Amino acid sequence: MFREMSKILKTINSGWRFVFLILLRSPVNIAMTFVNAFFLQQAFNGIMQNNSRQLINTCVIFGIASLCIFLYNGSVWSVYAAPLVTKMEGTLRIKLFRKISSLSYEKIEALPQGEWLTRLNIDVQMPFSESWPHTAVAVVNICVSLYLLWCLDTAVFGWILLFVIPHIAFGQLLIARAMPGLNKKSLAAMAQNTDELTTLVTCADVAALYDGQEYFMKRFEKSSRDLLQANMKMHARNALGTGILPLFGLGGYLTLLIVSSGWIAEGRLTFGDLTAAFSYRGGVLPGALMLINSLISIQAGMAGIRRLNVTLAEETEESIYG
Amino acid sequence: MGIIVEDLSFSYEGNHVLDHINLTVQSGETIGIIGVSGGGKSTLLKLISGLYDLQSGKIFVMGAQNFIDRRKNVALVLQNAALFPASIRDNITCGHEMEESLICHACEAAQLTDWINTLPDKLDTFVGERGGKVSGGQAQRIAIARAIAKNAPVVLLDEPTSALDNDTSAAVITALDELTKGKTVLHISHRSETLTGCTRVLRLEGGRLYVP
Repeated sequence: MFREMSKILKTINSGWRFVFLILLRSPVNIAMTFVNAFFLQQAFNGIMQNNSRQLINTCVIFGIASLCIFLYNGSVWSVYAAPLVTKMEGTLRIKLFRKISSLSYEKIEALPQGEWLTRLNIDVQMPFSESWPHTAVAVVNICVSLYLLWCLDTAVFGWILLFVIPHIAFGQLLIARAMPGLNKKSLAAMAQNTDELTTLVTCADVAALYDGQEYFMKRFEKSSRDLLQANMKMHARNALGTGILPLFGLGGYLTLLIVSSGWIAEGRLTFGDLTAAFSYRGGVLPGALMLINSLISIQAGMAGIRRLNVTLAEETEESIYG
Repeated sequence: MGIIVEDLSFSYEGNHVLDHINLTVQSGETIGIIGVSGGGKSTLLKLISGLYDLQSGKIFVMGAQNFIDRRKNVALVLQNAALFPASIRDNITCGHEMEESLICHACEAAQLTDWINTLPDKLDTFVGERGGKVSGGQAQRIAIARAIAKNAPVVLLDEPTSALDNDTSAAVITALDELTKGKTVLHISHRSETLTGCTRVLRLEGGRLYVP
């Protein structure tokens, strides 16, 4: 996965800029999680201790910190990320177009038009999907949240982990593993569909004079149905995950609530600590969900990225004949 | 009557390519039209065959004026045959149910049988994306077989051999002879030597038809 991605980045000489973009983006969510947890912990402790000064200070700090994070995130996206991604995608598209136009006619002829159009229009977007920064954000969020949970209370940490691990494993087994194959079929169906549409246009005179509109329409309808079915399989798999995975999240939340009520009664944990723990859990679980979704999305897009690398590695006519 | 064109004018965005054309082709007659490239010859064929809408004037093909009926009476063979990514059979039948004997007859008349018999899948051989697995001459003969199978009373030929070399065009000309046998034919070309066998040859120049 990383090897395929690094090949693409090397092709457009943007490896470090892409890594820098991910580094800039990665602390945002954990910073928000930490600020939220800190706010809830301090605010509730202040309320429990009837300390209005602590409550006001906490609210002011929370407001300033949230504003800073918001401004930082907005600046990174508008000033750096969006222009960079647009530029990288444009560069890749130009390189791919040049590559395709320098291939031998035999190679171009061997594939349907739709295949080439799909590579130029769809596949080039795959390496720059938001899934890559989201993966980095999620990994940082999960790791730091787990560490802060560990520091807060090891028992809470253990209970949360008990539900998060099967959550991730189940998501991977149920959805992520099947996605590359399903997406490959979807892309192939899309290419076929585009090809049929092109035929419908280029052979319009034949269709009109030989009363072949119905024949061409049937071919186009069949390829459209194939495309629909391929996409439906992906949606069905995603829907299955959406339906089942929250059960782990809800189960973990209720269990922690029941278990921690005894600890609060014993005085081992304050209510502020528990709300902070829920907040860190919020960093772990949505982080895990984000990680799963991002990995699914990346794995689904890998079919396109691999196809790009195969095309970019093709020998051109010049290289064959000197 | 085969083809009647009455006072036909046509222009592309104000550029007049056909100017008050009148033409009558008797049933069974073969007419040739010569003219320079871009002179409106292909436009005339597309108007007669009902591919383009009329701007002014009238066209009758075997008595039919409506463009849908005109299309039914016409088989058109263009300079570059348009094959679609399907089998030879589908390229000939265009998806219509046809008797095997009719398809075989069309292939035989189009000089395709010997070549098809060398193919492992015979008529079900895939012609490739954009007809890439067949030569220009073979593609042209498949297009002629398609026209023969349609058995339309009027045949329109738009420089069908101009993109082919001499050896290849010999087979295509034989196929065209089979296609045009007993039909009303309108053959256009920019070279008069390709219009042998025409009862009349007209010149299309400046949007008007002349007897050279």
